[in-house]
Amino acid sequence: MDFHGPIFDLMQNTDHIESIVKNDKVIVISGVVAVAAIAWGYMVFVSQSNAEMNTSMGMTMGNVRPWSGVDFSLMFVMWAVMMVGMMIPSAAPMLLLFASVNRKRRQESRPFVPTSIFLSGYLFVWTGFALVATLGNWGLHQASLLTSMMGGSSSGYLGGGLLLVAGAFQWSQLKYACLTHCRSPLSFLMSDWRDGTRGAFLMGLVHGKYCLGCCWILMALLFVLGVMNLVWIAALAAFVLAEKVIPAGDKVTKVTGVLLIGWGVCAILDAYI
Amino acid sequence: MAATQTPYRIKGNQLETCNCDAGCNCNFGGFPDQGGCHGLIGIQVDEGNFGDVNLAGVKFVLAVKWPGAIHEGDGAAAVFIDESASEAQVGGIATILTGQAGGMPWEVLASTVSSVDGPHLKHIEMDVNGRNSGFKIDGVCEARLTPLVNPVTGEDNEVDIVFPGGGLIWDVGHSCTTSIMNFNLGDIKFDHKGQSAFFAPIDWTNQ
Repeated sequence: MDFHGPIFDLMQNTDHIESIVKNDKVIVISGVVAVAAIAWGYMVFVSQSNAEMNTSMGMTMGNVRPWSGVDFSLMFVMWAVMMVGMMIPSAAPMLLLFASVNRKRRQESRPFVPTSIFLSGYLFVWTGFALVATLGNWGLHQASLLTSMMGGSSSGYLGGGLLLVAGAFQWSQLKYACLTHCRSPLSFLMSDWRDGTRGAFLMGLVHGKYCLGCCWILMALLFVLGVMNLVWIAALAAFVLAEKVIPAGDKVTKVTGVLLIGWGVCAILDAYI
Repeated sequence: MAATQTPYRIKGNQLETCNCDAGCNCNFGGFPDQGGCHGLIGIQVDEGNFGDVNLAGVKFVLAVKWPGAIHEGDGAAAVFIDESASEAQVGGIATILTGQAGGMPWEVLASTVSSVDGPHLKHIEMDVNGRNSGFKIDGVCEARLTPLVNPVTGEDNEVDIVFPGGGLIWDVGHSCTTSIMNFNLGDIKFDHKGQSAFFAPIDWTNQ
């Protein structure tokens, strides 16, 4: 015996629901791709103009000149854009799930919140990190420890030390806790759901906090690899995505920890010899 | 549709079976260990209400098949409610399970499902007896829970999973396995006996 009524007709109208689901995914994915593409476009532009500046002015001059207020602002913008480009793809599973809950609410004429609110909470955290990274970048540059304003570490000890810390961190409790959170959007949204615009922003902040706990040291590796080294930026972004979205991502994390430690030891020995 | 949500509460027991190995990775932030997630769940409501409608005594069964991890969505679900339920009770349960009344876990779970078959009104045989519970709908599905066995002593191995801060679906799950676990209707077909199962008290509300 089957039941009929308005509620059931709505639920059984699955073709309609499916087309909205796909459409909704397309919107969120295109949004994510567009933001990431703009960020990457900007990074390519900055790295090219940086390369031109270095050839015309010479590496040494670029290194010696102290930062002006404008330099600092530009570097901050660059770090912030870089974090957006690198981190947004890995936040996609969480954004999609958040969007599908709200898409359903909208369909049912219930209060809903745009996914951009959640995203802005998430990006707020990474923008904060960008500010700290810019300060770090400035400090290292003042101490003449970078090959250029946007270069990597010129000290084998500093670079090797960062690699060792990053490698050990891959095996830490903190990394495990944060990565577990990031890998299971379902449990986060089910147990920490908050309604309303404020709630969505707060959830974005909390998610960003876990994500930062997971990836901060990987981002700090840019001081070893070169702050504007696009190949390494792309590799790190791909790695962060893999850790979060592939089923064996947590094992990838551990293996990478060992590789980073090995690399750090080599870098330090190299500097010593 | 009404913009205001009808308050609800459901307290009772959940007989949860799935295709994961015992314990189910999803409880630990993992991905389903067989690739996708195939779940068959029976629920008996001991006390509860949907607005003014009393839900005590209602039994329902839910089968869901997700192609990957649950959060990746695109699940296909089928819902069965025991034929003894009144029209108002069926409406309440259907509204809750499809997430339309809000409240966790159903609001998020429902958003990961892209097709719902039902609710079908069928006779549901359900024995609620801890790790030896089971349920059956003739010609559609059957699940029979059975305790895990210690491989050395051969005695029952009682393992509980506890979420001290509150779990996704339940706070305490009594882990067990299945001697029978199958479902066959329309596009949803599976048979996964010997895999993960939980007997778990549940308490859900949108308040």
